[in-house]
Amino acid sequence: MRCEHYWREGILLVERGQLDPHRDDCLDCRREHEARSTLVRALRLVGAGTGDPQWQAKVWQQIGREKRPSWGGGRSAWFPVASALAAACVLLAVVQVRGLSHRDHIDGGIATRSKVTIAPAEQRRVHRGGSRPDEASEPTRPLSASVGERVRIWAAPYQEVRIYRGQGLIARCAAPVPMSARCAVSALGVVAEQVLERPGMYQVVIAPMGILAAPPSGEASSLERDLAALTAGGVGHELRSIAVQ
Amino acid sequence: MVNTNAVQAPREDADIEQLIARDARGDRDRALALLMDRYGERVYRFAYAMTRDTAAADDVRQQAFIEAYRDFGRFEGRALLRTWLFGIVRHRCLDATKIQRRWWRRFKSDPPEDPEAEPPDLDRGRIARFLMECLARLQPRAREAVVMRYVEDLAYDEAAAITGELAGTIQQRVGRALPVLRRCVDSRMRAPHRAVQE
Repeated sequence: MRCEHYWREGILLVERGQLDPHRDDCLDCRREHEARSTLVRALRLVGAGTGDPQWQAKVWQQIGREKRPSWGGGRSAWFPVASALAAACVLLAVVQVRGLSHRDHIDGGIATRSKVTIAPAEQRRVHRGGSRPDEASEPTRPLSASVGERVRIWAAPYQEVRIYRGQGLIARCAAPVPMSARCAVSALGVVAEQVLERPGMYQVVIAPMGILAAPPSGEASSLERDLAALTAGGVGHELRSIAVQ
Repeated sequence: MVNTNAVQAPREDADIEQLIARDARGDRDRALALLMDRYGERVYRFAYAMTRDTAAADDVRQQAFIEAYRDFGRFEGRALLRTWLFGIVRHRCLDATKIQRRWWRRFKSDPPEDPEAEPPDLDRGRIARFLMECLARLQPRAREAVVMRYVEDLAYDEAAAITGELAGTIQQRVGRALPVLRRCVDSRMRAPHRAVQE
């Protein structure tokens, strides 16, 4: 008759991390302990791949939908309006001082579509204070540009903008990046700006934030690698090319 | 706010906890991105082992991270961030398994096979499939205990913190579930062999 000790009491001792002196003297229990170890090893291999490759993008999309203002929600109805106005005023003041106007992307509310435009070199600075030329008066041309002109990219709040010259990443703009003269992020959207300093091909990639990994330290991220990551993940993105002469 | 004194052990996710504690929108976004990178696969594996359904596991994972993002403000740093996250995942898994049970009861059938779940390696796939079938036959609490301990490799203390029970209770559940699992897997491994002999 086989010894039943192991599955009755011995296993609890194992799970508690306690010694089981009986096991050393019992062949049945040693065999059963080996069977348990095999089972546990097999359990550690249980898995079913990594699931939907676009899951992170779906999480961001859902969060983006939830974040859009719901007027008259939990707090009093004027609270979101007042907060948004106050935030917009502060933001406007800060970015105008730093050279990138948030009027550029307010554009009627939260940015839901991305846009890439080229601004002539002579308009290097947006107007400070007073009235600013209308969008129409700032020519939006097909994506070819001259050296010294600027590319300006508008994107939704939960998107990341990356700008490459040739294969090399030269600028990133997304929510965690502190605001600078070349990157402004707010609840209304993301605006990135880059002076096209050299002739050649520039590429702009607009993708859901959090999908592209930060470039490893000491290593430049490349367009090819980032596009491969987006394609492999099946993540929808936008790629625009700008020929600079 | 994060109470950094509450837990003495080294905090693996201190970087994310700091971002959460700053409580700024950009920081919360960054915290979520890091959290998803770090725990996305583990959460999926846990959810799959609990639900045995790839679509349900995907839903659980998405819902859990969305809920974590919404509730960042409630994370007080008393537990490890991972423990807190798995607490959310566990609740979503229990919801999902309840829905599954109701569905299966209604149609009086066994849980369906998930065609996407079969790994390409035949032997490993066979054992993994049997294990998944046998796990699904355990009581939900026993299954949860085994999955936390041996699929997710969580210590009993951490599993206890997630479920809100005593570590000894989880140990007992695992101790009782393993022989059941072993018998179940053995019988399934032998079944095709018997058929060939017959």
